[in-house]
Amino acid sequence: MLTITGLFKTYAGGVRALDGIDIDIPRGLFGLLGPNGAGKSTLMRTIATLQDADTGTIRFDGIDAFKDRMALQRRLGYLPQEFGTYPRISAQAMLRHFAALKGIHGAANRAIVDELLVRTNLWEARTRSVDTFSGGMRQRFGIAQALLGNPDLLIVDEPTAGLDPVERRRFQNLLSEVGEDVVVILSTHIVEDVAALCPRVAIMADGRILKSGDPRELTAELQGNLWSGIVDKGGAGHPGAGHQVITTRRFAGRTEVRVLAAQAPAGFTAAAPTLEDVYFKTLIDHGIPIQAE
Amino acid sequence: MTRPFIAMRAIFIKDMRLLWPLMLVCAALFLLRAGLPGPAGRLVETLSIGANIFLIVAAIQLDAPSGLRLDWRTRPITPVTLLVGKLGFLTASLLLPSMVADLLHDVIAGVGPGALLPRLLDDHGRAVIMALPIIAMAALTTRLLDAGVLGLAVAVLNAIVLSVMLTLAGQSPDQLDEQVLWPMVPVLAAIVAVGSILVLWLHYVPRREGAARLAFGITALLAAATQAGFILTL
Repeated sequence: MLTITGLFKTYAGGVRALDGIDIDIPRGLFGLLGPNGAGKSTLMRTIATLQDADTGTIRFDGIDAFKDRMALQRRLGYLPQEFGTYPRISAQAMLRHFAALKGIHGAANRAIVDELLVRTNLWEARTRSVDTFSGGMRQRFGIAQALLGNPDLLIVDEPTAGLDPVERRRFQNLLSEVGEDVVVILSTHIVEDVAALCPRVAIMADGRILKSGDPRELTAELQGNLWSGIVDKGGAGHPGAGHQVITTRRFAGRTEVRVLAAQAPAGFTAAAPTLEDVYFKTLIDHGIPIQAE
Repeated sequence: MTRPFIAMRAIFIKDMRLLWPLMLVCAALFLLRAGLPGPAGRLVETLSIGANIFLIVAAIQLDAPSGLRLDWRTRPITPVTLLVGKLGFLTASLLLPSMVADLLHDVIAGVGPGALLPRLLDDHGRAVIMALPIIAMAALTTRLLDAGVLGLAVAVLNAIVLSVMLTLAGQSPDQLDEQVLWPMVPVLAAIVAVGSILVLWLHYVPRREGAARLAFGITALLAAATQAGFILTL
């Protein structure tokens, strides 16, 4: 269990990136959703021991992340949004180097690296430099290096940004495999990834956790109050004032509007709530500007 | 093998794998430098210093201790382990080849066995002290260009202070011969060495980047002030 209590962080320029984070994260995949600038990466870097908070504590199975970094780092796997690689070194050699930094050497080093290359479907490309990898291969290499040493706490920051659908699905499958027995924190602004993978989720903005829980329970809260309708270019069919519009989006050349109301507006039909509806409603309820269509 | 030793060995091997072409260039220039007299020797000496600086900065910045986006910091190795690994690599790639080249040259030139060791220690002790601020500058920056700009800024500051002080003292640069400045060298070397070690300690041990930058600035100012003080006593 990862327990975060009273975490605050204000950068030198006055930007408050973390504004009192309190959350318990159990084993399994945990999704952290939020718009750009929500403070997700700051939170991820702080949990990953890369930076300190101004106040607050982070404890993982009794380990204080700020007082005993090394103990946490021995159990940590971290895939940052952008990770550094060395030029002209093969994926296999680089993984062996990272494994050695985790204290794994000799035959064990070779065995774990080879196993991870197979598991991440990079065995055929093991002699190639990571510089030459596609985005998806690079992310799979990233997860391979994060999994070295069988971490109990895995932090993945925006791992699927920029991946094509096939690579994204492949990465999701990989994450769901590893997320069964360990704490995996998946930070992203892609709601579909969290909906597909995580039994628990938190929505973050302005450095605060706005909402958290089981996605099924969160979506159930909207059940029976969410309506969908098609609006034409001239605005005909729009539900009008007095209804809370959650999203408007283009779909197959038409504009779909989803609204929250006790009763269906004229021309609207009941819609099945999704995590995306919960996400947008939460942001709207807290006055966070959203960049929806 | 202990964890720190495994990590240091890994850092050493990785740096070797990445920087061996530059290491070969440095070693070749050491051999040439030791054997070439006159202007050609001075040119090779300059090239050798440039290559050495480049290798030092490249080795340190491959795992830069500055900045936030550095995933090595999330590995279970201490910054001290990283620094020792880097210093080990620099010793093996620069200090030892340089000593071997100079030793060979001295033996060929007929320097007596009793004088060999003192000469080596004297020359290379100075080289180590000169390398310390370069290592500190590399540690405070994340790119070769940034390290170059920082080095240039320190050199320009120093030149300005020197020329102002020479003007105030009514002296010309020609009067700054070795005899006059000789007493200043140990003081300056001590300031630079202590300041650079403090910068590296602050940066790698308690991870206080701001304090390390401040220590670097104070060291640069103190070094300039020391030179100014000596000039005023001319």
